[in-house]
Amino acid sequence: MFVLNPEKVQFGSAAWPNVVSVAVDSAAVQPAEDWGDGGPWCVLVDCPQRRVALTVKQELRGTPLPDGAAELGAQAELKFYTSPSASSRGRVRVKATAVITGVSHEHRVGAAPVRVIELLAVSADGAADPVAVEAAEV
Amino acid sequence: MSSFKGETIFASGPHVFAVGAVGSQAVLKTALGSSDPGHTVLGALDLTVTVTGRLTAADVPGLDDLIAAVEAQIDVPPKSGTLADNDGHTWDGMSFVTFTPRGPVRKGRVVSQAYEAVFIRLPA
Repeated sequence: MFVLNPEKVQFGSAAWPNVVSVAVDSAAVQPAEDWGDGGPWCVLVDCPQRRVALTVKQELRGTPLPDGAAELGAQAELKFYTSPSASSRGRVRVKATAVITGVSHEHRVGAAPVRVIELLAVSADGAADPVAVEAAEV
Repeated sequence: MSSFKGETIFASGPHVFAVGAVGSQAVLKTALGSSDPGHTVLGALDLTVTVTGRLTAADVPGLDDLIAAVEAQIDVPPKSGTLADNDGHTWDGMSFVTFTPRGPVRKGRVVSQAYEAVFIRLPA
């Protein structure tokens, strides 16, 4: 999932202003792969260990994050809203409990500096998808 | 399809057969307490066939049933039977000696358990 210009981004109680994108990427950490006697090709692939990584890019326009708003190791619910149009039709809320694992910065001449906040999502019980997408029409 | 004593106990997932060394069992004389150099031949090696693969099921109880079915084929002391691989090879007089889970149960799209099963043609 990739969301440009999400409507509102919040990490715990802290609002993260000026977010230009949120990427929600998932990957298998150690895929289970097995081959049989039939030939050279893998016949079983499964993803028993999965990781969801979220990347929040935030333009810095002279409004630094409050202290502690993006602290490494902090765990909270990351929540943002997005909508396919300017209306509230189809508006959804995406939320995930996540831990901040990296904060870095990018800067290209002529553009505002961008803070890149990397997070890893945490499942409540290991079985539930850590990312929830809910209808949020108003 | 592979089987042991006619039971297709490994059919739920991919598995491969590997035949062990064939020949004589030679050991260093020093290993037998001698101070002489060289080897002593004890006799013919027992034929060993190792099956490695992954049992797969839709859920944990299903996997437990598959593992139980495999373990039910292990007798102590071992009783021999015919082992057949996926390519039509058969080995008579094989005893199912050990079944070893390799790593934890994996829970993804399916629930699975990697394993190693060892069969030996023991002397009568």
